[in-house]
Amino acid sequence: MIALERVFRTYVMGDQTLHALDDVSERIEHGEYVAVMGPSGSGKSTLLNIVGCLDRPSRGVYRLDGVEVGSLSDDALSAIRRDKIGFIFQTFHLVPRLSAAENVAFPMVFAGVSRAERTERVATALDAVGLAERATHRPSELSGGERQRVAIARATVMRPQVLLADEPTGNLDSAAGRQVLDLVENMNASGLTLVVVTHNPAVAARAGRVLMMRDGRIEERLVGADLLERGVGTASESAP
Amino acid sequence: MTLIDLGQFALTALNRHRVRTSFSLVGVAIGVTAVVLLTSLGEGARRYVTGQFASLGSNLIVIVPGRNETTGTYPGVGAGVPNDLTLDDALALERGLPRLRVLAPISMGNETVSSGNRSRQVIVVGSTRSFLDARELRMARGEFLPENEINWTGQVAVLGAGVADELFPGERAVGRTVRVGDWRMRVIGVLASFGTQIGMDLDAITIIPVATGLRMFDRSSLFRILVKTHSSGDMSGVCDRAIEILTERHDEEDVTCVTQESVVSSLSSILGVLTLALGGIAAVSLSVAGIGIMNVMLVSVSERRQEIGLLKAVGARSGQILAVFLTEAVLISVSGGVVGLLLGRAVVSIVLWIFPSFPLVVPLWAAVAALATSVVVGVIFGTLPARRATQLDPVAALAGR
Repeated sequence: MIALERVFRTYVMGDQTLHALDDVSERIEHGEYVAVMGPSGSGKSTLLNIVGCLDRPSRGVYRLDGVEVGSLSDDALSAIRRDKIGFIFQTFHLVPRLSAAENVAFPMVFAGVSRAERTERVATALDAVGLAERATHRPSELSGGERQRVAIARATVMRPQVLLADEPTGNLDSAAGRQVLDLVENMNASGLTLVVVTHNPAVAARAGRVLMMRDGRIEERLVGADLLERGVGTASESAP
Repeated sequence: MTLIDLGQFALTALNRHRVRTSFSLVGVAIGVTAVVLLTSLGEGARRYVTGQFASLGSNLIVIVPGRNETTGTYPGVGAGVPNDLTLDDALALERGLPRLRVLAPISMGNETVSSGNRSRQVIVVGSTRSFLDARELRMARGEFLPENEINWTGQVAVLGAGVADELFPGERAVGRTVRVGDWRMRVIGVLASFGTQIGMDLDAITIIPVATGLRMFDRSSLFRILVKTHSSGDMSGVCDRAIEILTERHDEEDVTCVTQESVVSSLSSILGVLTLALGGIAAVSLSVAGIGIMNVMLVSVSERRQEIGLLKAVGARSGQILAVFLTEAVLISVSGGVVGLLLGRAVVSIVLWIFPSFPLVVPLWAAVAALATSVVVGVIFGTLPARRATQLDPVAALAGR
């Protein structure tokens, strides 16, 4: 369970203080599917980074499964990211010199998973994203959708509780984007907590809940399905 | 994460930038080659010199007038001026030393040797027939100094091969007369060509009877006395006995007795230090190579910010990230070290193939030290870039900032 209590994240730039997160409180239960929407600079990525333990709150409390994360050491945070959290990025962040299989194995190498088990889990994970045939291909030999699917396999190979996706379809055409969303939603259906940051209402509308952010605050909490009815943006033009 | 994982991961990274990886590798290789070459020169010199001394035989002792220890008194007082080491002393030693095989008293001076209008400045060694045995000389022609009383002042000379060639080119020297200083001498023999033996060019000396030498050089003291024993055990015991005999005769301890062993070991240690110094100088070039590695690794870290961000996102600990980049640096430096070692060894082999007598030996310790140093260079100069990688903020790194 993700619990944010009065979380602030401020950056000091020269003599200016920037409130990337400004008093955010939110609970996300196990297995939820939450979309975070908002214009650029509204703090949605910062929220995702804090939830993913890549960043710490400047003030306030973030509890992940009851553990107060802000007070943990860097190595303890690393361990949480390794064991509980999977990341998917807009730009995929695959290591270009490694094959698809090696990219998927990447987190397991640093987690100390044995070689034999790695091979097995890589095969399963690639199979789950439908890329078993492409295991030996380099990222440069894969399409955008395939790259993101490799990234999904990598994000889930450590069997995390939470999958955090920052604009996962931002660089994909609509067919590939839909495939990617279908994949992560299937994983959500089997119990994985899913948080998707997007500025695309059609993507956000698929989530159970939508957090609308502006200026570092959660301005509105909606049910995903309501988003389309309200006609925020034009869903048809930006279908995922 | 196992060492194999680390190595594999580092190799994929290095493989991606073969050109700059190999440039920094070559830097290390040149450094290590320099270490190997310079130390093998030094080691070669050490072995050559000590070998030369050792070839005199381990059953040799040398007695020199004067003590080479501080006596605790003012110069000129007490033991300040040593007594002469005389021919009588030599005779006393000859009678008193145990296991004695030969004893060769030596007087020495620098004189002009001439024949007709040819002349040459040579080292003139005064000695006895025993000198032949003590220095293991061979004759090319004629005879060496005859067996005779130690104070025989016969006017005969034995010429070194080079001296004979110069004074009597293409002619027989034996039986001819030469002028040594103001003395006229009859040439009775010519030494076989020998080459340089411990700092003395035996081809360029002239040997005369020891007593003749003392008079010619107007000296009362011998230059030194060479003693060879029948067996080589307990040479310092023989030295002790020699000093005892001479102390009794001089009423004070005013001679120094050196065993061949002690000369070899002190020379060896002096030249060993020289080799070390040469190696140290060459090692400077290794640190330059280290800076090359640091440069390459810094570029690599800044190019791979996103990868580092990803490492952090998937939960790699700081120590692991440090290990990843250190492994790359050490891989560069160690492969450079191995290449340098092989290159150095190859150069030495080629030089030895062309000049077989050139004293050049790759010392094992230098090879080991060069490799170890290259590891250390990799670690030292890889640490700064690797630490920089671990200190990146994961969010900024992922964004490529």
